[in-house]
Amino acid sequence: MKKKITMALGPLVLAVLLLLALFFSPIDWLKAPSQKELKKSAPSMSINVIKGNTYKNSAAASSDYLPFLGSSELSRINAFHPTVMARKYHRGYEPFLLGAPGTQSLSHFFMLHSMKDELKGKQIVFIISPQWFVKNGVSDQMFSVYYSPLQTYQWLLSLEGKEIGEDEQFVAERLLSFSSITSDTRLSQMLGKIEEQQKLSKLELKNCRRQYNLLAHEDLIFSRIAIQHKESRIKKAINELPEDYSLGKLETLAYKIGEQKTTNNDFGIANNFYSQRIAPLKDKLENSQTSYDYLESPEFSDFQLVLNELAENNVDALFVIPPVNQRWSDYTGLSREMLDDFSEKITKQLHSQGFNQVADYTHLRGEDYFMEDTIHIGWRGWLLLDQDLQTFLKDKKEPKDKIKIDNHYFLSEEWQKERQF
Amino acid sequence: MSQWLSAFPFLTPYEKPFYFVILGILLLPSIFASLKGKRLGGYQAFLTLFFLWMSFGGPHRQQGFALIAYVVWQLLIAASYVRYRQTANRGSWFYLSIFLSLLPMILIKVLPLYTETQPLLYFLGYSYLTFKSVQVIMEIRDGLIKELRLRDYIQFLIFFPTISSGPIDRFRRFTAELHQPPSSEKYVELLGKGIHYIIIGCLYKFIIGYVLGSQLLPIIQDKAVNQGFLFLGSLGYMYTYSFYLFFDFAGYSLFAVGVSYLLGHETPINFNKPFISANIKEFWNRWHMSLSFWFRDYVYMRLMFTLIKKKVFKSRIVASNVGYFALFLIMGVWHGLTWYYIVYGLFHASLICLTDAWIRFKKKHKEKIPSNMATKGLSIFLTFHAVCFSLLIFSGYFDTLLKLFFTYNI
Repeated sequence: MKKKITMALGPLVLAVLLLLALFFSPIDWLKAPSQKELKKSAPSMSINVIKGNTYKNSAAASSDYLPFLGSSELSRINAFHPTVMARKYHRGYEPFLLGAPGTQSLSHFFMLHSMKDELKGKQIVFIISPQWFVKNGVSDQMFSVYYSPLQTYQWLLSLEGKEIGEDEQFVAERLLSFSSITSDTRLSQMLGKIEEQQKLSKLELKNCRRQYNLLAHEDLIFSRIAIQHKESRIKKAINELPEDYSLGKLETLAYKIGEQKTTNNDFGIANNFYSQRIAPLKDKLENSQTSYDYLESPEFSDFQLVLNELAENNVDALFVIPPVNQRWSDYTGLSREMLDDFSEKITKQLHSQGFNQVADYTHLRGEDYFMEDTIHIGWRGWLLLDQDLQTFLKDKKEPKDKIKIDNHYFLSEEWQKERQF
Repeated sequence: MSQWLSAFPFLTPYEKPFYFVILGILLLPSIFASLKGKRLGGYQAFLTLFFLWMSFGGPHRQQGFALIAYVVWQLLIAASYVRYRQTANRGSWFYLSIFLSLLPMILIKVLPLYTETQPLLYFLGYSYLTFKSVQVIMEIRDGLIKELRLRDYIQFLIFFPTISSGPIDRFRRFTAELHQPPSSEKYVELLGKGIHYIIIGCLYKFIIGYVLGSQLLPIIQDKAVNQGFLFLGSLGYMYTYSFYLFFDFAGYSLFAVGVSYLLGHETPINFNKPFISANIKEFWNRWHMSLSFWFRDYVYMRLMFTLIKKKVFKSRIVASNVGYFALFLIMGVWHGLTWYYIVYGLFHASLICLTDAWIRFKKKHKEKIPSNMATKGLSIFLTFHAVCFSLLIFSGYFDTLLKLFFTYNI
């Protein structure tokens, strides 16, 4: 009988010993990414780069990279894409693309927060999509895709010793509305405390630290795999550009390429996008967006978190508001007036708090080949952004003096639903 | 006290490895008693309450109240029906009892379609408890359960190792064990197996399942959806998701069975190497077994019996096919009211009907169809891929894809 019990317990003891050995083994063989790896990761928009810290934080720490926060438009690589332009004309920075289809302000907030030390006092570009500002903000499904436990625990740890402010309460409340958070009992318990303005206990912070260390190790391992090579596409695009920078030549070229690439439809939409995504459903899409509204959304407050984070770390940002392809929006019935109102509302949120570097392209919606397809900046759009970007980079502002953050108003439901501005 | 309470580690069953630390300590008295061939009924009841509080208290206390309400509701129905059944046996009262027993589940599934929030009736594991409750009503009707001791019924319903996701035990099996604990010889064997299951479960769920589900799946989805590898990425997603689902759920089931063993209960196993099945029928005898056996016994067999007795269909084959479609449609709806769960159910029903047709064809043409290692290998390969494809539907991947392509970004 005793032998039987020993046989039963033996493997358990062994398993525990092995596990302890694994936990306390040094993991020094994982080093920071090399310069080459970093450069490869910059235009990749890989999910493990976005959710992790290893790559993006190393990039933010070096002065060679310029973070571009946005979403799907970043993946529209053509000759005038920021990465291509920067490489061709040796601009001294490499755009580090932080965003992917489905990332919205809340993900951007966590990304920014997770690299705040590295980013202090630097410049970034932030592309705002009007399409984020729907009734319920970011969807549960999309949030869960880009939810980063690592960055969330890092945020929790940063609250140590601090009084919980309105912005932190708002973050906790927002997080608790997503199923990927509520399925984690301990995390939701801690967020529940922060929502009620209570500090985390020593024990809870200890747990957070342990969890964070574990996730950071995982990030070192998993952020390495499957980083997307976009090099061949970028190289091809670089070759389309003239050797020497000449705005006039580039403008003509952008027009010409746009014309060549949009031949199978009357909307000025790139051929492959049109045949793959629009043509199969074209009739259904007619007048399908008449009731779309981007004026009432929790996203306005999620975006405020981004602004707050930028202000706290003295980051100078160029905000870009892309238009919606007019020929397309007329077809789907998406209201131009509503889009104009959106531009006004978001601009008010920016200007009234002192964020004055805004490239608002809303009214360029009718320009030919400005957009690559329906809602994504294209050839002439990227080219205009390139010029605005050079101006922005040249006269770096000292934003600290001018910025006046008003979290109380912009985190309120009143502002989220405000239609008079 | 309140400080201690706020530090209390509330966890859903087996959520974190830490759950097992607490479990290991608190189980000791029960294990020592069982080694002597005894069952500490009172202490095990305390364990149940403690672990239920851990999972349904604190941040989940709303669910705790819902669980209590649910149990009271089911007790009322079962107690009334068993009393009625001792004197009469009208079909209408049986169907009414079944309906009332299903009602909480129906409300929990249907209400969110209108309110967009989780109904107050919701608690983790409600659908698994519904299987247990409905089973008891059906066996009362059959006369298999003549008396219902409420204490036994409560213990059966809220047996904590299996409360959140099964395996779905049978009432008569469970209560027999409750009153006749395993001998000390038998228990040593259970203890060994139980510990072994928990260790394997940790490997499955916390290591393999975690790496596949939390680390690899998002990267592969990203490849498929955003980086232009739609076909290869989707194929990779299909395999990865299938293995993730197996390791996650089989790991969880091993926990539930292992912990049951430590408590001296032989809860039935749920998975038996499902991916080596040579056809889809065999697959369902190896995958989520307690669920498919439940559906076989309480839906399919009963429906077949009725259909054949009342001669609804002339052909037995038609009746059987109708039975399969009913079974899998209900299973799909049970998973949730979304199009992909229902398509998943219909897909499996079609596969089973096709398999049956193939088996009939094979019987007729025995001499012409070869049967060897190669054909066996081929059928395992085909079955595996049919299953993986069905799990890809189940995962909601196509839903995400459609939304990403045709609603977002246009």
